[in-house]
Amino acid sequence: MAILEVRDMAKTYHRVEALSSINLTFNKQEVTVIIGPNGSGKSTLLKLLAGIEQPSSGKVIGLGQTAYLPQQLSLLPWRTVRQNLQLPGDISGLAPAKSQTKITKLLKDFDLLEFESLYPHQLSGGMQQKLSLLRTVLTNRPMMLLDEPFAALDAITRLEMQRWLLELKRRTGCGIICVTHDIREAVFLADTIYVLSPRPGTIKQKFKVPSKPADQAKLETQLYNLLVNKP
Amino acid sequence: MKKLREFAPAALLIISLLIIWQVYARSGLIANSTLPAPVDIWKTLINSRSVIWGHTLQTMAETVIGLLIAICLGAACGVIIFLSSRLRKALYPLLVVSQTVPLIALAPLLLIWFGFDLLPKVIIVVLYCFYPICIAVETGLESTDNQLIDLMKSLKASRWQTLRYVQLPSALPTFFSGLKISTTYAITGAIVGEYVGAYKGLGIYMETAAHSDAIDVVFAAILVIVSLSLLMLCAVILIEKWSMPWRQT
Repeated sequence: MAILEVRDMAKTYHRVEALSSINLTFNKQEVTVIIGPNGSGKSTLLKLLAGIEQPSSGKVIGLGQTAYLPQQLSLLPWRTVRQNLQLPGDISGLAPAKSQTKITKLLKDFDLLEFESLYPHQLSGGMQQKLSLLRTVLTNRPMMLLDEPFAALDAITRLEMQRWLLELKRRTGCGIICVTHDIREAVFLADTIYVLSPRPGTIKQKFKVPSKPADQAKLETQLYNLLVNKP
Repeated sequence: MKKLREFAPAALLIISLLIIWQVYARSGLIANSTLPAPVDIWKTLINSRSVIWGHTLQTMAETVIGLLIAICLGAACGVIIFLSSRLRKALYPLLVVSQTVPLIALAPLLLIWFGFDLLPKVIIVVLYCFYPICIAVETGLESTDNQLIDLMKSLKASRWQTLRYVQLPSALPTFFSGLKISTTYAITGAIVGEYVGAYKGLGIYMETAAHSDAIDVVFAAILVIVSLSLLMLCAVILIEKWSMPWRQT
């Protein structure tokens, strides 16, 4: 079932066309990965889906259904873990007691309660990202928008976080739209992959990710060839 | 131990300079009335402590009241010019021009308008301290990380919520940088005001002592002023640490 739809959307910055003729549908509880070369408008697309920026033409149906996670700095450095998780509640005006109960349950469910009074700089990169993702869950929006969520992490933590993200998705039932440069990450996480062309970004191709590892390996090669323009 | 090691070079230099000063002043190469020895200055300070204390309280009152008003006005003005581009365009040139007016020239006028009491000195302190705080707050608000602003937009936060939850805390480090500059200016402002005309305060006390050739008293007053400045700066640093426990050390 589609909860977010993009119709004939384009975005132009100062006469430079960043995105053109984008038509997309995102389904509930699905992981969609958007992949493309540098400057193809991946992050712009995510910001348009989040309602942070407005399209120059076309429209997004289902705005307000998405919770956005920026590329790097996401936790507020001056708030403890618990206070950071409280942010969506503070903004939406949720009663503090109700908000606290939800936060405690979530932290307990994911074995993170012991970190509640620490500041972000006291946590590892992976832990910071876990908490940012939990905060995204607390917005109660059914679709997460993640802009290269694991780009700053080392290879081992990145693998651990990819598994953790799928576990989070399984437990919360949210859908995910994720932008990444990493082909392996895209194939590991996604149900559907969209490949963007170089600027102006358009949807070059759509792939459904197969379940068999051998087919996934073939898809990785296919994506690699597509991104480096090999026949 | 690490802290001690940090301060050791500065402490050693100060002690060495004091020893050189003491030896030179006692060598007979210069009259004691022209350059008193550090030990004599200390003795003068101890002997005149009750008189100096009265003047110190007056200067402290002018400094602290002026600084507190400057913090309130400067921070409010910083937020206002950040929020409104129209007000920014109107106020910014005025703010810059206000800093080009020599306060030493303005001080006598303030005395004529407001008398010899506390008020003109407080105004001078405010004029000295207001600008660094205002600019620091405005710069801090401007330099908020765009990713955090995007996050707030995606959470559908209002302008006020973004200011409260993200931009004001982001501006705290630069605010404290401005406040430290202003704190060092504050006592200077009060002394300048007192120098021009006052009934009480370290500025007028120093001026009277200088006119009476009591150079040791002038030095004793300078020692008090330096100590006060350092104490106020330390207080600001402590408040800074207390109000930003999240900053990495």
